[in-house]
Amino acid sequence: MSFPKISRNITKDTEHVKVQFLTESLELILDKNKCVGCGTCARICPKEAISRGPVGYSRRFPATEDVIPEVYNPRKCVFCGSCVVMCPFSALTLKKDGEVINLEDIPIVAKKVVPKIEFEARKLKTGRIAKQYAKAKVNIIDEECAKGCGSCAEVCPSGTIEIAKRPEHGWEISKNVEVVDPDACVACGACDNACPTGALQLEITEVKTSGEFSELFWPPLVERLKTLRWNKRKEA
Amino acid sequence: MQIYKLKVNRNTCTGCNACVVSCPINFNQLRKQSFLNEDNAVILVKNGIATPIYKEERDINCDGCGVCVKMCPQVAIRIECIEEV
Repeated sequence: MSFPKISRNITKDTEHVKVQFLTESLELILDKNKCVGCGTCARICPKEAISRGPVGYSRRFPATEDVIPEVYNPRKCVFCGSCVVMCPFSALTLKKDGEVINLEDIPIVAKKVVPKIEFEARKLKTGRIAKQYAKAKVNIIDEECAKGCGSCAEVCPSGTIEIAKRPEHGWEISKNVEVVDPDACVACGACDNACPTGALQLEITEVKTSGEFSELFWPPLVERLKTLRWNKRKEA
Repeated sequence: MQIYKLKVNRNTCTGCNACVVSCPINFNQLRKQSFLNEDNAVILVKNGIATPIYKEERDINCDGCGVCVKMCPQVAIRIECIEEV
């Protein structure tokens, strides 16, 4: 048996990661009902402990138990709490010795490693409440888009992207998805995370913050936040 | 890292090609190379039964979008997630 004691539980509603040290225990809990699979936590994680799950599949068939939009690796996680701070849908909670740590008491926030995030709480059409702290622009490359897939429209929590209507005339080029309401976008990155072909490219332009921050921790984190899947594909 | 593997129920699959046509990754490969074979497709119909193809060495594999599962008229496909540590 290895030490510390690591356990990972997946049920229908939660994904529960627990690490038991000698004197204290730390837990990270993902609420699968709140999570949309935006991949913000996977992008910003400093230890790469979180990886992307089957986003489109998990949203299309939410009743499937073992399929989770974001997968946590408790062996790599250091419980810094940056994913808890940055999650736009507050789907994550951090627990210490069985008690929930408030957002202000997380060490990286309390010691001012991370600046205060100036977010705007918005109620979305689906009834979710999202924190919007960034601005983004959605670009769709029509040639790359596999028409008829509709993964981005399926995962989008705000109704920014919708499946387009078929054109009236047969000779017009049909669009699969289109940006209906660019102001409704909460810049979570779910559409980019779900797109299988890389046709949809989200561009995060600015992140609103205020206050002091550590030069060593925050700027790389913002850079990781802005590095979406299509950036990586371009490098390869 | 997670790997997605498609599982096809061989008893109910009719080989109708709906999954092959609907798969977005198949579409992209078809657009680039104008043919589908064992090297570039994710799912193909062989001998009247849909066969998922997974190859570790190539960088295009199943992305877990779930379009084929939705499109299958026989509900014969499911996705299995395998974790790689």
